[in-house]
Formats: sequence, structure tokens, C-alpha cells
Amino acid sequence: MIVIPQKQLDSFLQGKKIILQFFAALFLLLSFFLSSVFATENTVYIKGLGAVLREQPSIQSKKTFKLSRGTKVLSIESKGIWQKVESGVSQGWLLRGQISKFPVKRKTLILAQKIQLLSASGRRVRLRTFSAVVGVKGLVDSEGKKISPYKTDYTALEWLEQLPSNEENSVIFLSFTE
Amino acid sequence: MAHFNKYLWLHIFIFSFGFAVSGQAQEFRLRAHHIFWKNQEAGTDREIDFGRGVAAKILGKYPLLRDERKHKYISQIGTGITAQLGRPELRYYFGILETDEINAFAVPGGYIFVTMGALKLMRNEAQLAGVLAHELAHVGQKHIVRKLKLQSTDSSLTSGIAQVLGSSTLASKIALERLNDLAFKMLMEEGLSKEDEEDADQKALEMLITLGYDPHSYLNYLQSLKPHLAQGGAEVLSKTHPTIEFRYRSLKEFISRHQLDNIQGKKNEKRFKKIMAKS
Amino acid sequence: MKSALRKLWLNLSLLIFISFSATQLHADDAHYKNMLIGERAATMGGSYVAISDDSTGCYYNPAGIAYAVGDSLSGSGNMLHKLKTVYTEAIGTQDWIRESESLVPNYFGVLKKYKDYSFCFSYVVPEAFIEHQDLLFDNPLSTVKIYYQSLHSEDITYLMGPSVAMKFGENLSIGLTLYYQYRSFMRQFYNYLESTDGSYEVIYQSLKLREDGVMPKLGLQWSPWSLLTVGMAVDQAVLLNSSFQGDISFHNTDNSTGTTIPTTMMMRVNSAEKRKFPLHLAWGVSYFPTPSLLYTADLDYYQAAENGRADIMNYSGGTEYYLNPTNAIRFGLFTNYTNLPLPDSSTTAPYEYLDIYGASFGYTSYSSSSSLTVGAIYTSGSGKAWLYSGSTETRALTRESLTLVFSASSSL
Repeated sequence: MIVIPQKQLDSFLQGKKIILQFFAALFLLLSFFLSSVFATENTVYIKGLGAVLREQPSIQSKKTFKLSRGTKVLSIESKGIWQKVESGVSQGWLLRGQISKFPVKRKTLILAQKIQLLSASGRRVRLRTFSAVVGVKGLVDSEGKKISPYKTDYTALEWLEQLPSNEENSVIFLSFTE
Repeated sequence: MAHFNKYLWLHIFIFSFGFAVSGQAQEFRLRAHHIFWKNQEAGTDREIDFGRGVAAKILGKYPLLRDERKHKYISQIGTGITAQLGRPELRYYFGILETDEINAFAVPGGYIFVTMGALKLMRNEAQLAGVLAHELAHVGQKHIVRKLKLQSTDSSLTSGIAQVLGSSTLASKIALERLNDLAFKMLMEEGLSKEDEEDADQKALEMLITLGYDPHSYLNYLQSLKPHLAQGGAEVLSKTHPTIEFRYRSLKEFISRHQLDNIQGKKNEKRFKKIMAKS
Repeated sequence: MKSALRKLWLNLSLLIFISFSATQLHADDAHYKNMLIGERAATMGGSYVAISDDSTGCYYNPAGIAYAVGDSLSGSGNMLHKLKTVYTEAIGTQDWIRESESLVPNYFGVLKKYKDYSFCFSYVVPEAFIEHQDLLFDNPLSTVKIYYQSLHSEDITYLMGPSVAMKFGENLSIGLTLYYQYRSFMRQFYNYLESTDGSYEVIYQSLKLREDGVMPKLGLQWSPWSLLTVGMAVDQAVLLNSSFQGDISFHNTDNSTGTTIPTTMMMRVNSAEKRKFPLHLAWGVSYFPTPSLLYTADLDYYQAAENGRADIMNYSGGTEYYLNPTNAIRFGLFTNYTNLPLPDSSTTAPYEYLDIYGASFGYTSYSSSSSLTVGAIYTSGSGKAWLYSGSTETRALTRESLTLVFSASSSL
């Protein structure tokens, strides 16, 4: 469509080596990425505790391998509610609810726990949190009218938040069979 | 230049041709982070902040049962489920509401409530696990946050809830409070969509199977709700959920589709009854 | 005889600077791609014509902004742009090294969408050369006791203006950007030379240039089939006003005849001659195989509009890969060929023939509503320089540059 100018052509021939290197480098890089992409597109993560691989897609099937939370596995095949994955040398079936497409994130602590954390270190810090403002004073709009018609109980909520169960112990508690 | 002009028309021709024949959205242009954040909607801490407000309203309507033994039991069962199948970034809290109404609530951010009325109706631990799992599925799939987002007038990806939740100005706090009310109303009056409830039922069943519980107990629990719904003992539940017939049929269909008929599991009836009997 | 030759060398080397400074007004107008703009674009070798779906797109291809995801605000600063040019054995047997360093924020853009239209306002600094240099040579030649040179120069080009793009159906868009182009150049050059025989020479030169113009840019983007986009953009800068003023004063003494003969001179040159910019055509193609990966390649063709310039084609290519949904890396390669014609045996100074190749790398971290990019661009080129006024003598020339890119963008 547009004729490559003579000068460019000349410099192409002169600098053929450089250009070859240029494209070789580009090609190598792209294929490197490509190969890793096909691997990563199938990457999934173990969401929770107590995930166990099974030989067959059945709850009665033999358990073969334990996977810990956050483990990166490759998904190979899916069958109904079952998902076949590969982790290192071991392969097996999991229930699809046990995996997530996204890496496992750290637990997000709520504000109330942050306040406790600060208090525990000896400093009495009163955070002017949103919930405190709403719960204690009640949020009012510019005309002084209370915005929400609903009652709130933040004391009960904080009571609830003070008693979280330990995850590992709860998994053991749940695994109990009569 | 004349050379180029000739081709310019060709270009315009080809471009217009492409325009004429195609009408699909360029979804493929969305990059990984767009898809990821679209899925995440608001950040987790914002979701928790938001959920706390709704949870406080539920506790404002129904008193919290401060029975440490019962609470600990529910919390351990719930946490046992979430540790394995919940969203790993959340810490879940489980509470019992002191009311004879039969219902359970899932609030964004990981607050799960079940009423005393519902517990009294349950026969075993598998049923409790099933009800909790149903609520956990709502949190896991962010049904409420998504529905709120659809209801908000501005539908662009970055505005709406994420914006309201992210800001700290008084105006946005007022907006947040209104969103909170909307969510509360949704739980008490409107309910989620039929599809969301269906989805949560199926997820609950899958969770029960994964955890080794008897999945059929959950179906039995749904059946046992029927007479109470007719008598008006679960006013909110009947307003906010599809009919039991629909849910039962849909689950049966799911079971046969995935050949889950023969799956058995534990019920832990004794442990459940022992804890529920004492007060 | 030997000393006469040295004297000749000395005079030649002096002439370098005089001729160089007087004629080489523009720090580097022999290349079109001295600075890469934007966050994603810059770190993919400036290959963006077929992507261009954020506010940086206003500069590369305004049609692409039609596909932007939401409204955004972005800005980038080249944290550091370091350029080093070495003329081998230019001053006697010593190398002449020129270094330029700038810290100019080179991009700012705000993008707003409304229905099928996208609007954008952008500010771009496509060229920035800042040189502050003091060189002192003790006894560079046997006849020269001191040679001192002080050079302070700033040459910055700015583009700013609005863009609009609209979609025709889902797969075709057209966009237009209208830039106001402004360039400010100033240079102060001082030169002191003291010979062993007591004679000396002082030159002071001050140059100022201001150019105003417009640069319309028209773009098209089309997706012929899923996963692939092609783009095309054309622009042409036209100067509306140009004013140049050059002052030079000169003082020396000559002791060669036994008596000291002083010479002094002062000269002012004014000019309003407007430079003519090339027609720039850009084509690009991008392939989006997965949400985590894309490849892109561009051709940039420049059709010369001035005598003494050649038509050239620059190539660039890049790839973007998401390590996970919130972290992405990019890599790019590009050429930055000289726009001067190939030299021949009749080529005389001042002339520099230099082809440059570059590589870029970048990393971006994404949060729900903002992103932060850091990256680096390295370029290297070697060629020949004709330095000595009127002579066909050449010196080897190498140029290397390193640019650190730092940019952020946020959804509105």
C-alpha cells in the first residue's frame, strides 16, 4: 500500500541482523507467554480447609490426597458437581464448591475488631467509625430528620462479633458423625 | 499522496462493511482486571461495612438470643462450613434471632441469622447445615449486593454501590444508609429473585454433599415448612421466597440431573436435639 | 609542522561547537519517537493504535476511546528521562559526551463517556530535552591550556486538546482529536578557550524559539472478528506561528604574529520561517486471545514535508500479560529510525545519522478503581556524526537513553 522508502529498505538490508534479533526476541517472548497462559487459564485455587482429592467423582470413592487452603491446582475436567484437578503429581476429584477462580485473599477484619486490637495494646482509641456514628447518635440529614425509619442494635452485633469460632476447631466439630 | 487516497476509500469501505455485518459487543477487549473487579463489585471491607449496617437493623427488629451454648453450636457448624466452602476473605458470624417466625437471613459481608422458630422446626443437624448453607450461598454469590446494584439508577461499572461505599462524605453516608434500608427491605419484604433462591438451594445441596451430610434432610425441611407457611407462621419467608412446591420441584430436578439420588449422609440428630433441648 | 596540525585540529574542534550550536537548533528533530506516552502504551513500545481504549488513546488513536470501560482520569510522569550521546574522539583525542536529563510529567488525560460518545481532554509532552552541562578540559591539546564549555538548553513540545469518538454499531468507531501544539526552545551556550601562547577566545550564544500550531488527528478502529482489532490514525501538524531569535557575541585575541590582535563581534538573527511537519499515518493490529493476554503491533509511516528529510517507517510491537487479575506486566520493542536521508560521500557537517532501537518493560497493579504503573524504557543506537564544519570527516556516535515511567489512573 505504501512503498517502503528506499532508505528504509537499505537500512533494512544493512541492519538485517538487528532486525532478525528483534523479531527473534519478540517471538521467543510471545511464545514464552503463550505457553504459560495456557497453563494459567485453567488455574484454580483451593478455597477452604479440609479439601481432599478422591479417586472417582463420587462421595463414596477413596480419598487420596489432602490439599491445603490457597493451593494452586490445574482444573482438568468437570463432571456435574465434580471437578477433576491436578496438583503436582497427584490428580483427583473435588466438589466444585471447593475451588475458586481467584487466589485466596487474606481475611478482612471488621472495624470493631480493629478497635479491639488497638485497645488491647493499651491505647484507648475511640475510632469515629461509621457504625458508631449511626448507632449511637443516629444519622440525621440536613433538616435534622432521622434518615432511617428502622431500629438498629449495634450492642447485640458487637456481642456477636466478639464470639467468632475458630476455623480449624469448627471443621473438626463439623466432621463428627454419630 | 494520491496513492494513499485510493486506499483510504478501500479502508472506509472495509470498515463500513464490518459495521454492517457485525453487532456483537467487544467483550473480548475487557482485560483480566476489569472482569475481576466487575466480579468483586465493591471491595470486601466495604461489603462488610455495608453488611454491618443491615445486620444491626435485623437485630433491631428481632432480639438476638444470647444463649452461649446454642450460639456456640450454630457458630461452630456455620464456621465449619464456611472454613471449607465459604469466601476465604470473610469472617462469618452466626446469630440466633429470638422469634417464633420461621426464617433465616444472609447479610452481605458474612452475617448469617437463623430464627428460633426455624430451629424448633428442624429435626437434625443436616437440616441446620442445609439452612445455613442456603444463606451462605447468598453471601458467596453476592446476591443482595448484585440486586441492589441492578436497582440503583446508575448502572456503570464503577459507580453505584462501589462509589457510595468507598466515600466518606456525609452525603455518601446518607446514600449508604438508604442503600442499607433498601437491603433490609429486600430481606424483609421483596426477597431476591426466583433464580437466586433456586441457585442458593442447589448450592446448599452441593455443600451438604461435600460435607458428608444427608442432602435429603434439606428437602424434608422444606416440606416441613409447608403447613407453617399456610398458617402464616412464616410471613416474611413466604413473602420473600418462591413457593415450597417450586423449590422442591427444582431441587428434585437438580438431584436427578446430577444423579445424586443415592447419596446418603450423616444427620447427627442426637447432637442437635441435645443442644436444642436445653435452654 | 606538528603544532600547526594541532592548531588545525583545535580550530576544527572549536568549529564543531560553533557550527553545531548555530545550526542544530532542535535538540533532536531527526527522530519521531523519542518519548513514549502513557502507561500501558509506553510500556508496550508505544504500540497502541489498535487498543487505545483509555485516555491515552486520545494521543494514539482517538477512535479507541469509544471502547473505554467507564470514565477515567490518568496521568503519568516520566520520573526520569536520561539521554547520553557520545561522539568518539571529537575533541582532540577526547570524547564529547552530551547528557540530557528531564523530569517532565508527560501525560494527563480525562475521559468521559456519554451513550455512544466518548469525550476526552488530554495534555501530552511528546518531546522534552533538557540539557545542563559544564565541561572543563585541562590541556586537551598541547597548544590549548583550558577549554571550557557551558551549555544550558530546554526544548519542550506540548500538545493539548479535546477528543471525541463515537461508535457505529459495536465493532466500528471513529474519533477525532484536535491538539494545540506549542513548543518552547531556549539555549544558552558559553565557550572559553585559552591557548598556551596567552591568546583566548570567548563565545556566547543565546537562542530562543517559540512555535504555535495545530495538530488534528483522525482515527478509525474496527474489529473484523472477535479477539482482533485493527486501527488506523492519521495526523498532520501545521504551524501557525514561529518566531526565532539568535544572538551571538564573540571575542578573541591572536598572538601568532607577536602582537596581540583582538577581534570582537555581535550578531542577531531573526526568523519567522515555519517548519513543515510530516504526514503521519499509523496502522495497528491487536490480538486479544484471553482476558490475560494481548499482542499488539504498529506501523508508523511518516511522509516527509521538508527538503532534507526522508520518508520513514517505524515498527513497534508489544504484549501484555496478567500474572493474576490485579497484576499485569508488559513488554515492548520499537524502532526509532532517523528521518534524515542516507548519507553519501558528499555529506558534510553538520550531520548525524543514527538509527535507534528500544525496549520497554512495565508493571501495573490494579485496584477496584485505580491502577499504578511503573516501567522502564531503554533505547540504544549507533551511527555516524559529521561534526567538523564543511568537512566530510566522521566520528562514531552512540546514544543511549533510559526512561523511568511512573503513572496512575483512576476511574471517575
